[in-house]
Amino acid sequence: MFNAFRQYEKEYIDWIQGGYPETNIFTQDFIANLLEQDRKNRLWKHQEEAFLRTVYSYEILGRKNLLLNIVTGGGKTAIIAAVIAWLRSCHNIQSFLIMVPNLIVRDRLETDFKDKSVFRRFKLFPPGQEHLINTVDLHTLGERGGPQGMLESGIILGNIQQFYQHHITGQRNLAYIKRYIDNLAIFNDEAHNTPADEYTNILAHLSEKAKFRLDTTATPDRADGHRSSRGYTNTDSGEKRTIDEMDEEFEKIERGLTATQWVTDYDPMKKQIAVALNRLEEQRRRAKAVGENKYKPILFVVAICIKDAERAVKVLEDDFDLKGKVLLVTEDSADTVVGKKANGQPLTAREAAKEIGSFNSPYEAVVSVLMLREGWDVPEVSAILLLRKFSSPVYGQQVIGRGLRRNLRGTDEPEICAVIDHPKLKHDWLWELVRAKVRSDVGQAELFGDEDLPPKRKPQILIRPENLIDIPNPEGEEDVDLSDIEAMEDTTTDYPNWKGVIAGFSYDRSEIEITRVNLSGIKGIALDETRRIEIHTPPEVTSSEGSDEEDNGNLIEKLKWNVLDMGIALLYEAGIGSHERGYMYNVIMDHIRDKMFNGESAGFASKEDLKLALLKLPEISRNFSSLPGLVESIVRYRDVG
Amino acid sequence: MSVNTHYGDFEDPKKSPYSIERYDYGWELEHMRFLEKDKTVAKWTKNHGVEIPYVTESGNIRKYRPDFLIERSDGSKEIHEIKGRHLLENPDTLRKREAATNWCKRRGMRFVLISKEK
Repeated sequence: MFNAFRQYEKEYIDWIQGGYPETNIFTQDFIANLLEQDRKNRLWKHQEEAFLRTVYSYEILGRKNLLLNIVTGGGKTAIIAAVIAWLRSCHNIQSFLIMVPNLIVRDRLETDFKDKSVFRRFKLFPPGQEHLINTVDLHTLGERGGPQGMLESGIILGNIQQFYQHHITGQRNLAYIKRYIDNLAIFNDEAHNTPADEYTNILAHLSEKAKFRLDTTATPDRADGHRSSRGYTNTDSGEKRTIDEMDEEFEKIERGLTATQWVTDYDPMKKQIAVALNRLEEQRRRAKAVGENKYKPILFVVAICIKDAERAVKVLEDDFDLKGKVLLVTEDSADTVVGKKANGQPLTAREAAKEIGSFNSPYEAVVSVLMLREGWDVPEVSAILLLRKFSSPVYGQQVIGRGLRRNLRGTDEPEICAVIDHPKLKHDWLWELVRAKVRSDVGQAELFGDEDLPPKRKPQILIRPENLIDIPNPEGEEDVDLSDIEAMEDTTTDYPNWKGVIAGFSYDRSEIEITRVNLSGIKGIALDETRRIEIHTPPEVTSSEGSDEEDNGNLIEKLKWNVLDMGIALLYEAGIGSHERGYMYNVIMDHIRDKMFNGESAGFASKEDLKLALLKLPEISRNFSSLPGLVESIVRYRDVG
Repeated sequence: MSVNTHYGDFEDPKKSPYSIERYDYGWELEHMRFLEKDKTVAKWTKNHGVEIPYVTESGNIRKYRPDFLIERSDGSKEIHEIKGRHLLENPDTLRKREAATNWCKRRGMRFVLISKEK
């Protein structure tokens, strides 16, 4: 869990200052080698820190499943390599499985681990253990024939699809590891993808075999929005905006007009591209003046669908005279041969994208859908044109992260990434999140000159350890009340006729007379302008109390929020990302309309019906989750039933 | 007082162990200021690593990370959770609250839910 390490901060600092006591003696040598001041290539400070925290968590705290949150561009690969070398030389773990979500990430890791270059660059094996480098050969799944390559190599690199259980190769790969490999460590790169159901299942299978598992991600948010759900559960900021956005999206879809049409129809797209090319030109001037012409700025265009991406390529080529200088990388085009490598072998678009920042590459711009959102490390990306709307903080940050790699290492010279956005896409939340400097109403021919950069975010440093708060030990054993889930079935069923199934749910409308109410809390309300409420745990007495009267608007608002939260929770439990939350929200709202509002929308429902719906929400949630496989079927068979 | 700031740093908090405390929403910042001023509060942090297991409405085990860990001048300890008013009766909020109350009780601590009147 994110930041779970904080409570050990004091002890961890003592551990470092005390010279790593109670640590495996081999580990002590390993650390001494890794941190040696005079070595040629040292890890960055934060990489060393991440490594040490990993060691502490595994050896001192006895945790075998860890999550490292490393900033985009923070060099996760070197940390993974250091951890592999340490587990190999100090814990005799012999097999290392690195799982990645897609081919772009796989390509990046393959480059680093092929020929063991990352181990050599940082001299990760300490003196006397250098021979162990021979045991960390790389086997990339899908290459070199059958799965026996896994046994012959120390490191197995594969993308998750290569373990999917609905095809024979995936079944074979997974079975092979489970059967033949014992001393295994798993590295789950870009771990925010984990909620995908196949991902979770495969990791659960493998964790039986794993002595150690390290998840790495640049974002504490997960792709299903699980952690970021706070973004739409607080009235003070993003939450209202998010649901409003959703409503607005639905409304526009119904009217046949999408938000992105503001930027993807021909004329607006041409204008946006003109602005973007001006920003690229500025970046070229900066690269020349500040960067001494050592790197070649690249424009990255992000589209929402292949059709828009192709149209953007056409506009760039035809209207801006960039024929042959724009690379298209989509699911359809990734393996298209676009040229030849130096050795005469064919060069695919996906491979060309990796080299696009090189002066030898003919390309000045790359256009992609979501193919290049993670794992694509091209520091030369200096301008990003958004032709799509992001609703997910994960995807938004990933894309902006492409432009935040530094070209000028070893200097304090600030660098700029220019992102071209359109106000209709309503990305204010994203610019707040990445703390961008926003300039609005930019004309096509406008030039900026040098930018004032926003101040750097300060690090959070422990400066008053005496203020750390010790949490008392619990009385008795720590446990969770599991009585709710004892009866849960573990089998799932397919429900192609899910509409019929949910139509069969019924809700008792009879009125309930409330004769006694348990006090759920004692509320203290400040009478000053802060309007602050404190809710304390009540004493164990009972009393009766009337309920507050609320108007229909408040009730509808409350219902919408609760339905949205319920939809996200149901999707999460079914292992489906929250990208389906809009659809799920509609399904549940339709269900409520049918069952409680006589088919009318919430706006026409009576106060009593709205209250009934709110009262029945837990029951609705239980109904939807009572049939394992139902939520999956609702998503799978969205157009039938 | 209206606070519209989101995602920021509360700099140099005197009662926190850290050089800065990060907040995600205006209400959290407001609460940080409140804690700094409150003479009965000796220490506080948002960066505490507390995770409280609970069972969701539909029967899954999740971990919940409350907002603030507080130590009063008399040595007593509290967990404070900031919650939007519309979520106070959400079934999962109630479950989290119950789990957190029990978690605190077992440690001789108190759980306080903080919200705001409209």
